[in-house]
Amino acid sequence: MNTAKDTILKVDNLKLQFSSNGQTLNALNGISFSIRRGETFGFVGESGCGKSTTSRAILRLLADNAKITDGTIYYNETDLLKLSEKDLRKIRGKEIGMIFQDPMTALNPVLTIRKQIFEQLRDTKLSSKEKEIVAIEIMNKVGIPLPEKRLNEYIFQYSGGMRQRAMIAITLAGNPKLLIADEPTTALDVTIQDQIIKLLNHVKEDFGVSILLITHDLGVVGRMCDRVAVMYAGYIVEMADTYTLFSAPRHPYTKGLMDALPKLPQEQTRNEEMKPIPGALPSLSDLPQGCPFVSRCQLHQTLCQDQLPTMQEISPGHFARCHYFHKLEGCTGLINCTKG
Amino acid sequence: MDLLSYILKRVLQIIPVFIIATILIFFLMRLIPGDPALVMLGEKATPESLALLRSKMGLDQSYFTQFYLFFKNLICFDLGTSIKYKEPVLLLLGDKLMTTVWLIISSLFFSLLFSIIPGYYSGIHKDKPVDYIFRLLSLLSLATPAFWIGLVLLTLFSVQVNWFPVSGWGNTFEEHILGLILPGITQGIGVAAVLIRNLRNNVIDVKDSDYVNYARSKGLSNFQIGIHHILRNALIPTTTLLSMRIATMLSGSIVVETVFGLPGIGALLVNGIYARDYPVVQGVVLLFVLLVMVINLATDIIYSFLDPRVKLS
Amino acid sequence: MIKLKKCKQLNPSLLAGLTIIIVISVLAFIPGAFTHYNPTDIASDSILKAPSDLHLFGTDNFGRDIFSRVIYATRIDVMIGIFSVLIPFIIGTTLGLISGYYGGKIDSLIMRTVDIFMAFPYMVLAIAIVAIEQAGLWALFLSMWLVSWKEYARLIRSEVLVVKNAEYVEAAKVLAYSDFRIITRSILPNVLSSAIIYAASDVVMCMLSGAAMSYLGLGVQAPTPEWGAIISGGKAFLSTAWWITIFPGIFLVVTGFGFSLIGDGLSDILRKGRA
Repeated sequence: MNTAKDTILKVDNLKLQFSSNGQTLNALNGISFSIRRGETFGFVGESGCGKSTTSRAILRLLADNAKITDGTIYYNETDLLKLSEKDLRKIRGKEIGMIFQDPMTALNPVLTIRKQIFEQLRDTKLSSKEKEIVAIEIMNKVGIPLPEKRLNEYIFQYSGGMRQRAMIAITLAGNPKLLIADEPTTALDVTIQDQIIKLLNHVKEDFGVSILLITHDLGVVGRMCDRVAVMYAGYIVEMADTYTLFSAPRHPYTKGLMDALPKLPQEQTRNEEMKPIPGALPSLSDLPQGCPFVSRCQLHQTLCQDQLPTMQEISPGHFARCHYFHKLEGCTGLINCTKG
Repeated sequence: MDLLSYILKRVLQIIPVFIIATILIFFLMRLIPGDPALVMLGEKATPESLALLRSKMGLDQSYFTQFYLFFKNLICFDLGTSIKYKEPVLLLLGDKLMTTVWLIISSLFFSLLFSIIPGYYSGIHKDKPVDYIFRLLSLLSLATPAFWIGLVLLTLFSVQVNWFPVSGWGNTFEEHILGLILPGITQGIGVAAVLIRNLRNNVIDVKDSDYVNYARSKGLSNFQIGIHHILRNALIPTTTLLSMRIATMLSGSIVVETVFGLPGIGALLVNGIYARDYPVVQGVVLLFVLLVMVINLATDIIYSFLDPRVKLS
Repeated sequence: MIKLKKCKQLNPSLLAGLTIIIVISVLAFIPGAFTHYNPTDIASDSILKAPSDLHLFGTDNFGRDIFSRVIYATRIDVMIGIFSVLIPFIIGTTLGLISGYYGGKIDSLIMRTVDIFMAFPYMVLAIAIVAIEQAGLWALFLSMWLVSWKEYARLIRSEVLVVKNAEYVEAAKVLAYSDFRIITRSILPNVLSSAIIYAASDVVMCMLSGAAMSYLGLGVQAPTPEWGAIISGGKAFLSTAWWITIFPGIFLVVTGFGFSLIGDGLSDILRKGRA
């Protein structure tokens, strides 16, 4: 369906384990997805589900105790997992750039923004004057006023929203084609969140990048993503284009996430209330043999305990990992389909 | 401007502490048993000459008057005359201070030389064999007295092979440098032990930080990350510690200068005590106190330069 | 439960340190069991003899047996290390508790005094004290005590300031317990660990300073055997009789290393206990 040409990143059957205190944690259990050129792809799930780990695994920015045990990660035609550390460095920053959650901790506190942008331009043949011009241009594009002055400042001198803009500017200075944004709005106030979402959407067009967005916030997904994958306990449990997922969730966990959102009174049509999902994530060191969601699922049957469901394509481009997804047919999520 | 007013403020804070320290030193010196006039003139002095000298030195006045005279002279930079050397103490101090300053510069150089690479690797390879080896070495050098290291180095490199002078630091610049190497190493080893532990812990704190991960995501090489992001940041508290250690090095210089026969203020103090040369002892102690205060102030200023987040206040 | 678990995995640093110090303590308590030479006996027929079966560590310029002197010196050096720390630890801790708990004028008074003492470099103050008193063991102790207490006062005070507002202290206040009871039962146990960690390294520092003072001739006086003083006696014979300098130094290093290891192990355990 999507040829290699319009796919920028293709991850296949990615498995990753952490070892800690003699225990093995199965953090990723066969993750497969692909991102098309120019699209924003979202990863959503609660903390500890493996969405951040996936994003770090792409650039192999993992702790010493993490080990990728299986899978491939193709960036265009290169398998990143087969690259040497040295070759991977040519991808990092220049082909795939990252934005972290908190610029206050992700930017070096004692280096000026200028130095941190210049680090990205280290392999260009630009003179420092030209680098300065490039840096100012990027700062302008991400909406930082008075860039000439602010370049010489440190991150702690920036205000909340400007901090995230500064990190976006630094990352963009490497001119990446794929931007991995790990919870870019989580640490921000709602109003600033809004600005950063707009900025990222704008950056996507302006710089022609694809975005992999990691978030736990379905609202952010709705405003940014073309397609979205829902993760649970190291598995992708559902994947679809955003509209389909929001209008017709076909995995009980996705449905649960949507029901768990607080609703405005006028939206509470059928006497529905905010319903948190009962229970907690299963232990990654001791995953159940069957469906990982089984202990929290209202639909579960014996089959779910014994057999891990496979990803099934329920409609073109809409996948769900549930034996009983048909039970959710007709069920609507955040968007009430007119089809009903 | 900001810096200037800060320094001014700190100097104003220092003054009362310095005055109280001065009072303390003054009365400590008066507690020393024995008659300074007797020491100056020797056992054979006549009672008349003793009385004359006493009144000349103001020793027949009340303590209060004596202190007033002492303090008045101090403000005019007059610290009295050495009993042993028959020279103004201020001149003696000026003469010897540079030796001690050079000794401390040499010690700083060697302590950094011995600590940066071990501290960094210890932290990067936390709980690996290399870390254990460096930790043990630093514990071991913490337990090693400087005067003994000095004597061992002297035996090995000055007595057995004639690489360095056995005592003193000669008269030319080259001789000075040669004469400062072993004392610098001696003092540097002990300081390095403290620095290694500190740097190691800082590296451990920094190496898994978000900003190092972010720097990695930018494709920087391990060397660039190591220098610009890990070491750069980890060295900030270590540098502060090192500059605080300079005060300790001043103490250390007393022993090291004695061992290596360097003509610094530390050796001057020890010789002053031996000779009951009170004006010299008094002068050196005052100078030490002043130096410690200046060093502490300099430490705070250096820290604010190294870490832009720190505001002087 | 937690304590039991800790004992099971005894910290290797602590274990090694304790072993060294136990051996050293045996030497300190019964030096006579290891040597039949009197450490102060002068023998004009065996001057500056190299180490041999007869004199394990050789002899000095008075013909005194170095091995015997080194062994007998153990007690005095270990004592300098421990007692130089014990008294300031008690005084400093008490002042730190008062300063931190009551605050106000008494706090300013104590902390300004600390400031003044901080202005004197360690050895300088000690040397000045020794100059006043007749140089000797007591002057040495006195100077160490005067120099060391301030660190404990500072450490304890800063810890008290943190703990003071903890809920269990508030609770004790609500119960109208006396200040003494609150300080000794609720605060003290929770602020001691950093002072104990510091004390372990302070023992090493005091022992080395004491030896350094004796080396300078301002501490323990000859002919009393003390490692620093023995080393000092050997410095004139560096080229001919290295053994006078080397052996007491090794004993200093080993003893200091033992205490350092204990300190290292203690800090590991106490920090873990806190986390």
